[in-house]
Amino acid sequence: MSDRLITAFDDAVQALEAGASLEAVLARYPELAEDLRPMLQAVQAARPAAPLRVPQQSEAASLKKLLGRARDLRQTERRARTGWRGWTLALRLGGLAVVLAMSGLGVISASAGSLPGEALYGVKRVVETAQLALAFSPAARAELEQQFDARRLTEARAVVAAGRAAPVTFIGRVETQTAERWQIAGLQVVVAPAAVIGVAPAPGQLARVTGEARVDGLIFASRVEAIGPAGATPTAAPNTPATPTALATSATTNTAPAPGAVTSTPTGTAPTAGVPTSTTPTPSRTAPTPTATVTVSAATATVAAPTAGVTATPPPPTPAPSETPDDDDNGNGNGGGDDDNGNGNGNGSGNGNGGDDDDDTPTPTP
Amino acid sequence: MSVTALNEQALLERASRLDESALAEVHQRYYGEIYRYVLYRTSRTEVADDLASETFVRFLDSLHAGRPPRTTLRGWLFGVANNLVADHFRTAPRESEALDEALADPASPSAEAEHRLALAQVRAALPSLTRDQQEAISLRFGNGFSVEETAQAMGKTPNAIRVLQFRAVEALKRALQLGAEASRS
Repeated sequence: MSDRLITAFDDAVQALEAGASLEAVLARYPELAEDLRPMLQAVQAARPAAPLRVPQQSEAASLKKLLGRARDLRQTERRARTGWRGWTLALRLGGLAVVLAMSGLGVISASAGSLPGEALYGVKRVVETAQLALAFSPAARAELEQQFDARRLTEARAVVAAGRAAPVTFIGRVETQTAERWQIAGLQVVVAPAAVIGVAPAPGQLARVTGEARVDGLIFASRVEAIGPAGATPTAAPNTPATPTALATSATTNTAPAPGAVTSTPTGTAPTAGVPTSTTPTPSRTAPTPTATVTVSAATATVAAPTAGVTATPPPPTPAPSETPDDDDNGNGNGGGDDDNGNGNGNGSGNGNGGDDDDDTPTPTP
Repeated sequence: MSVTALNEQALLERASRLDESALAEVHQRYYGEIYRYVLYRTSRTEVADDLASETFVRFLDSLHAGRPPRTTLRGWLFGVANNLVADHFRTAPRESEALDEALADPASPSAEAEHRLALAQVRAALPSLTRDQQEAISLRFGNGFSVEETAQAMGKTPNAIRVLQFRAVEALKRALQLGAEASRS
């Protein structure tokens, strides 16, 4: 009954909607008319006489609002893609850089001042290895190796000066040889015959020394080898008197005599540079050592000499002093402690600037 | 899947990419029925203006946020409109005034006056019905939707709508009778 009524009602409503009169519709369902009449009357009351009017301006205003919203979203999207997201990313990267500067790079810069036997010394050496690996040209690599060789000597001197026991490795010119007691680059080295690899270096010749510094300031060499062929010695020999002085002066006093050393040393060592580099079979680090020779013997000549050597053989004495003071401070600092501090500070400020740059650059982007 | 459903899917896909012509088409297709529905239920043109427009903005936001309609677009839009109407009644008390001028049929003013009165009684009686029943009456008779269209808008089957409209009109009839008795006494 109920199902029939529901179906009849649905049909009746559709008939009304199609335009039939209430009486005509009810006439189709005589037995249900009594139930259907009030319901169909309710339907008639519920139906508006005419379809509800939709004001055109309402529809137009709504469409305008919708499309305006779409434009807003598009703009937000674009901003998100280019500006905002990029900006926050840059902020995050900047933050990361700052954090790195404070942690990782901080350690690295702190390690710059470390000496053999100290906790951060390993970090210092790893950083150097990385720097060498990242050198973009053989010239840059050679220059770095020079710098690092100079550092080794500075470190060895600092260790000896501090009266510490620590492993040292350095390259220096052999100055005197009295039995097993050698003076190399101003350092007192005990060289047992067994420690000498190959032909013993003659006075005036460069030697790579590996050994242990003791608290009494003596270095016990476990390995000493000559760098550069013996033939280099004569050429180097005339320089030898000059170099120790240059070395002594550069180590103790200032750059004043250095220009003189500059002129002499490159000529002597530069030609030999290529040859021993390739022939020395031992460590790869030996390669640029002739250039390092310059470093060791005349601190001032370090950087100026090779650059000059590339362009013209006679190194200009004028640019050398003007450039060298900086290089000298960085690479061959006289006092180990001072030098290390200088390095540390330099790195620190560099990092600070880097962080600022990261923060500044994205700001104008949006 | 019907051709309309396929068209609708393509339309929604374009609309989600903020394609203006797709959005305008959705608006053009459905604005009238949403407006009429809200007007029928609230009897206020300014409320109909606001809520109908808001329905489409919410549709766009939802689509853009990657939440496309899971039922039909019509069902989704009416679902939003329903929620907006419910919110409206929660904040603004129902007014038992006659339907606005927008309902008027200027062609036959006398019949209109009579009908207006009857419609006002229906509107006064509607709140006593269940929400589903109110929606069914509004869609089926206020909007003049067919059973199928009503089914789509409410997300139900046509058979369910046939039963629902019957129960709704029964309830409306009783409420109108009660109203009539109340006004007589």
